[in-house]
Amino acid sequence: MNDFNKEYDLIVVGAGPGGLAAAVSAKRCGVSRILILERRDYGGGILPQCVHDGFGLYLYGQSLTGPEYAAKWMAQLKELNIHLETGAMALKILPSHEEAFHEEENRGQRESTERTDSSKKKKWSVSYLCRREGLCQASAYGVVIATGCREKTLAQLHIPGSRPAGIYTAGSAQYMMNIQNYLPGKTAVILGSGDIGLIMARRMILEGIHVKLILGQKSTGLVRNIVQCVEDFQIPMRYGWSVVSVHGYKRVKGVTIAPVHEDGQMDLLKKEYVPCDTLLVAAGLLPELELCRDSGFLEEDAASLTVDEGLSVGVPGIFACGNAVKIHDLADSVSYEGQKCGVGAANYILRQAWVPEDLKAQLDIKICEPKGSVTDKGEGAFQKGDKDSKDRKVICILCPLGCQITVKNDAFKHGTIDLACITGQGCEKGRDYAFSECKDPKRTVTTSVKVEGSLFPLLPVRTHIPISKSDIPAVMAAVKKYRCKAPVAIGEILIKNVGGTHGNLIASAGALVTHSAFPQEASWEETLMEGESMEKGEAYDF
Amino acid sequence: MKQYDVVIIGAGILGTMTARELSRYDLKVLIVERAYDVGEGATKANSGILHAGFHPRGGSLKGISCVEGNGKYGQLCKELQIPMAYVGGIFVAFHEEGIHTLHEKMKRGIENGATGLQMISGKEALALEPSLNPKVLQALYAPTTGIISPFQLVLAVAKSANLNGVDFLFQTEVLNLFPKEAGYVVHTNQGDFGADYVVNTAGEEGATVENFVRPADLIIKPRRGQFYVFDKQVSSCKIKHVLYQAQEMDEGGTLLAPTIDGNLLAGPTSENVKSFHCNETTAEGLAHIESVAKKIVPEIDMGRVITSFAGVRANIKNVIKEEKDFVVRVSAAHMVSALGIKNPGMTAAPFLAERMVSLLKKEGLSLHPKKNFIKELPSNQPFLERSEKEQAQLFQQNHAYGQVVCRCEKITEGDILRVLKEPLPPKSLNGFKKRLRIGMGRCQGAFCTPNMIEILSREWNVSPEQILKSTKGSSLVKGWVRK
Repeated sequence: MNDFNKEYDLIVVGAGPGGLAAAVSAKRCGVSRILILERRDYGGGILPQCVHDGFGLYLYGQSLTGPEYAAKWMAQLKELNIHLETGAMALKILPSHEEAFHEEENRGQRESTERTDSSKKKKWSVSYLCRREGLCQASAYGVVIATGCREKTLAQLHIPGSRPAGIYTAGSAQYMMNIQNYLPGKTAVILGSGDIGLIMARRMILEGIHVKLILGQKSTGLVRNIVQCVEDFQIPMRYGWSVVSVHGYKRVKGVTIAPVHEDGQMDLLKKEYVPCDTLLVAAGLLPELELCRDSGFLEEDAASLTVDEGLSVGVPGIFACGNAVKIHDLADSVSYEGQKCGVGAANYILRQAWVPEDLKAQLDIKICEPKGSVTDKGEGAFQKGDKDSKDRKVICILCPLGCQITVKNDAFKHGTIDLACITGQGCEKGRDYAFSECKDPKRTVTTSVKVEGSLFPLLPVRTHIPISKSDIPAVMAAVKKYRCKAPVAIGEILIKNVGGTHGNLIASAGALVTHSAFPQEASWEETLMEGESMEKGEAYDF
Repeated sequence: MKQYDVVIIGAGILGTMTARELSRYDLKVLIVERAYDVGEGATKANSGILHAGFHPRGGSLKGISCVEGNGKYGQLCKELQIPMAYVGGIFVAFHEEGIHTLHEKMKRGIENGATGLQMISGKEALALEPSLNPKVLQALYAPTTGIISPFQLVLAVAKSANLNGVDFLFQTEVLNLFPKEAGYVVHTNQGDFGADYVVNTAGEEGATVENFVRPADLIIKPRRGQFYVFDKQVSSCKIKHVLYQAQEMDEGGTLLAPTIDGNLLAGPTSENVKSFHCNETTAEGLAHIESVAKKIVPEIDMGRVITSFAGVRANIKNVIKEEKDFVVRVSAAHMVSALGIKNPGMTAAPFLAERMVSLLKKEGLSLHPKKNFIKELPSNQPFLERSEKEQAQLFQQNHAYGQVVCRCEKITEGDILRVLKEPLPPKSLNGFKKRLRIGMGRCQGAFCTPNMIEILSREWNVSPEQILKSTKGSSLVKGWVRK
């Protein structure tokens, strides 16, 4: 057990949006020695595999891709000199047996403004396993649990049938397609219309996988995703249908589907067989609380953590944030909660922390999660194309408000636009957006290209501006042919006027050259560090 | 043509046990298996219970071998370094007629030689197992009912046999047996093997194999059993015993049992199916398990189910229930067969294996004990369950022990690499499930499957499409996103 010199003020478990935000804000509030433990080989948690955009709308007022959003936080980590240990899995958090005077010695060197009574505070010890050093133990006054969540599996839905290869949770498939360069299958049915399911539907279609059906539940993903992922690609969606049984002995051969009655029974008279080789399960997320349970912060059979205002779990020094506490729809709100948690932990460790003004301002941002339950808004409103319905509803994605704008069919009479027919927008930009959405809808294409000589086989890319929806196939054709060599900086232009559009294809993450003999030991952190120029680039001018 | 003293057909629990028994002697033994791994038939779809022996008819081979086999497990598991526990079984009656059944079962148990059987009151049963339905009237308590992991068991037995010189060939299907002077030519899809003696432990194909050498008399048909697996039990409402009930209606032998790994199992159902490939669970089957489980333990939380599975056992169809028994016999000169080995076949296996060997001896096989038979197996414990000293040593050897791959069962990359170098290494993802419980936890492989594909394609130096879930045709991915 390695336990030399591993004394910290705060240990953050998990380097996803929640953990990163907690570490960064705690540091900014004056907590000096912070360790982040991340079990993956890279920081950012789920973000690096979320190559699509829509992140940062609230915190940064921009629609960033996952890797770009992660890069912002990773840059802060580097700037603030916070140590991130990747490939490190926390196993247990236990009260530390260290003597109080040790702490006194260590803390004596700190600035007087930071001096607190924490020498009397109980210390916690976190045991973890990491590739670099094996079994380790580190101690700190506070621990933030930001372990995120995991996906519900097919079995948890009690769906009978066989269990051949080809059944994946949406997140696993996303990891395969966007990080590992693996194609999970060729024809797919998606069970569940949560955000990850919808995003994966688009991702799979763009990569040539035939998505036959999405089986939707009442609680659906963000309307934005329904519009951009399902409607755009005309993927058939069946609300209120589910999988009756999975077929196939070795690989999935198909699924039997049927409508579900209100009492939960399936209407087997209407059952249908859909051949496919892949079943994607996007049936919701569950907080990952194993560490809390193993450490005794949570009753064995409790399903969720209870936290107070300052995100303490009710045990002095132990905090939690993000999806480990409750499932959030947006990474922004996880980061937001992470920031709050970091401030809470700082307040505990330093008794009264000084919160920088800009962080205070961040904490004042209101995040409303615009959930789009299609059933709430009248089925079909978002599914059917504009041709059938008289009024077109447009969800504005330009700003955090997510206005639902109505464009009357009459708006386009006589070849001109009658602005009075556009209602519901919060500002002029929204009206313009709604207009363009009806006339010539534009989309940012996010995908990845093959990169050689890098740590990862794929480099996430995007068009620097939204391009006409009708140009998506041309852009994808260009992307599929393209390959580049590391190093690539984030924000670097890879293809100018990609697919004959006005958009440029840019790298939405950096790619480092592989030097190490053990590529898995280098971290994504540095990969993302590469091009901090992205913030200056005009690439983000919307 | 390679020549063996004994060729065993089928690497299920009985085949491997027989192989291990034979490996005590100076013999050249080969075991051929149609599937890609050991224990892929009925062994896999088993409730993991070591039965006490009060179910089978009194004095039947089933009953006697069950009791005798049960008694051998303590020593066997010590040698094989695998966990087992005699947790005790409670067979309960919720109705008056059921009490009659209890007495009948107790009588059977005693006739079979089971010890410690005890008739207890409903109150006593509730004291032993507080989560039981309070309607329990009376119960039969069997202290020798035990639990074990069938996966770990069959693997350890096979490894031990392999360590002691038994050859294994997988994906090798026996197509015919040709008698030759003193023995047979075993004709397979992988070529012919000479065998002085043949052991038929082919399970579902037992009758087919026997029919190569003699006319058919038994018909073996597939019978499916479905199970629910629950998440690791929490101590506050833990079921500690194997719980079953005297049926009121046609409820089948559905039971609730803790598993040696800490989960809870409910099942099985019992239904005839068309083929041995029919390992699908069904809505009716699972609903049936749920209803019986709720009858036995009303508070059972179905929200804790992490998976369901089904397996198919070899059922003798043309013998009436009252007369049905295990059939262990000399099928022809120099050939012994075990037929219709279903529940409690795993419990009975150590005894039946010895019986098979003694039948071979009667047929003329000479048995000279080996001097260097290795009884004990090295530990299969994963890194994180080992002592601190061992952990330090292992990490020193390979830093891959520092990388957790399966989060739920806490299995490291080092464990995976170790298993790859061991005897009878896994050839597909399911093999790791058996050997290291990878993918058996609550995430059911969602986190680790992609990483496993990466590790295996690196270690085996093959493209990811060639990484299989089980066997040929079960590839996990279909190529690259970007070539």
